[in-house]
Amino acid sequence: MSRNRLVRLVGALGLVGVIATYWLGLFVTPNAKLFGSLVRLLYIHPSMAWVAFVAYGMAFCSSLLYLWPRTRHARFDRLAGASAEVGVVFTGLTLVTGSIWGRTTWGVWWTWDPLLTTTALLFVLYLGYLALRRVPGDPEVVARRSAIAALIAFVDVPVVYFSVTWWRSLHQPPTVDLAGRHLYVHGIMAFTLFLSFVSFTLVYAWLTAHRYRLAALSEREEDEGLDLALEERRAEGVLA
Amino acid sequence: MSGYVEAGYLVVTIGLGGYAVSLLARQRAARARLQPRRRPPVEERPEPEEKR
Amino acid sequence: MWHDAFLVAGKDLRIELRSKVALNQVVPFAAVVILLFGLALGPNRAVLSPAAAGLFWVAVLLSSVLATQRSFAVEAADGARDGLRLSGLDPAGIFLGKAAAVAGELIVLEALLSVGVAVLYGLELTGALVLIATCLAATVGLAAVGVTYGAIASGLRIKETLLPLLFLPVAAPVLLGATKAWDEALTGRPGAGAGWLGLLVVFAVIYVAVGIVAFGPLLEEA
Repeated sequence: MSRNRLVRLVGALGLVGVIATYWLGLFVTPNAKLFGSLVRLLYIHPSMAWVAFVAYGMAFCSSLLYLWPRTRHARFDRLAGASAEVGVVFTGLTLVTGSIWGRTTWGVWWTWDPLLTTTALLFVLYLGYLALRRVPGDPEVVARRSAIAALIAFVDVPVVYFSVTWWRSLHQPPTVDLAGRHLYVHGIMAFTLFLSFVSFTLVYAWLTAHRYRLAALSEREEDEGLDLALEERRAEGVLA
Repeated sequence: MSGYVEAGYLVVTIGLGGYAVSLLARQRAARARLQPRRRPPVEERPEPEEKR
Repeated sequence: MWHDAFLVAGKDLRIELRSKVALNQVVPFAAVVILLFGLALGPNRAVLSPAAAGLFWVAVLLSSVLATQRSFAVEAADGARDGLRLSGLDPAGIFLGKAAAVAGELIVLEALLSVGVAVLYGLELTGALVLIATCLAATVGLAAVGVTYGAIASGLRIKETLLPLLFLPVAAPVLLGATKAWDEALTGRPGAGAGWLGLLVVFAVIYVAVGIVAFGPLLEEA
């Protein structure tokens, strides 16, 4: 039960943190010189991306732990799946908020900015991973091939990032994103940014814990469903 | 404010909130499907009769 | 390991030589893709020839999905997969062999396709050395990723739709690197493509290593 309370605590802290972030971000922090009120997007967009990468890192680590024979346990498989799914949600939000940022600062909904492009590729990469996880089969087999797919996907992340960055920078110097990324933040702005990172990470932990629980429940459901069916068959046998 | 900012916050709220709610709802549904199986159906039947 | 790889590659290539599925289906498919790009972009050579490298590599990428699927369809028939598992061959060797066979088929396809692109898009194939080196490095990478994912997807009933979704995003760096290296070579600056060639080699090394490690556990599964 203590784990249950921990999850609840994390959820409550995350919720309070997010509300505080919203309040600080929308009403308290000042407008920036260069971006005006748009700077307020800064309190949600980078933290989405950060959480997405944390989630994928988590999925990668638990996949490794699953593949390592000594630590092989169904819980790591569940954790990998849960973390990756939450990561995909956050990646989607990263794309949407990034796109809004792009629309307002560069005037277009999409630029082939290295980070944005990498994120988009990550999004489809992990959609594929989740699709693979959903394919039914022997739980252990599903777990093993999912773990390997997670490995392949995660190894691809730096390669994709490096190549996409290189691809863009050869064409045009990334002056726009220099202005966009190296923004001078200080005081209350820095605190709000920090708070957003912490509270969205807590939200991630809460969501992952619940996704994990859901996975455990549905696994149990399948097991019990089989047991139940077996019992019913046996009962029929006795009656006859 | 420009409207874009609010849209961004709204998208994040709806996205995360919607996902959280869907997770909780799916958990509830899974629990509800598990629960009746736990108790044998014989025990559940007498209850409404007693209330009458 | 190398001996086993040699055996498996020989087996796959022999099957291909007799059935000619890659030659009769995958190569024409790539040709269709190239033609469709031409139709989509219009007959203007000023548009087509700068984009030629990218279009060529997209066609190769799509064809490599088919080649991979074919490589595992061969194993699906007549319980060949079980035979492979029971053969006692080193899984790493099986991986290398299958990847080598796919790579061999793709190299032939690329040779034919590059002629097609040169003719259809009005291209002069300059910097042949860089072009060939790029093809080799990119193809090894593609074959390694493809065969690993093919093994992941091969036991599944819905592999036809799943494999492209898994494979293509991972192969995106290959598309970028190979296209850029080709672009540089075709515009007469073969030296500038060296960096991209390096990227392709790194990609190939990484995924050959991953495949060697991962293929054992993948083959074990039912």
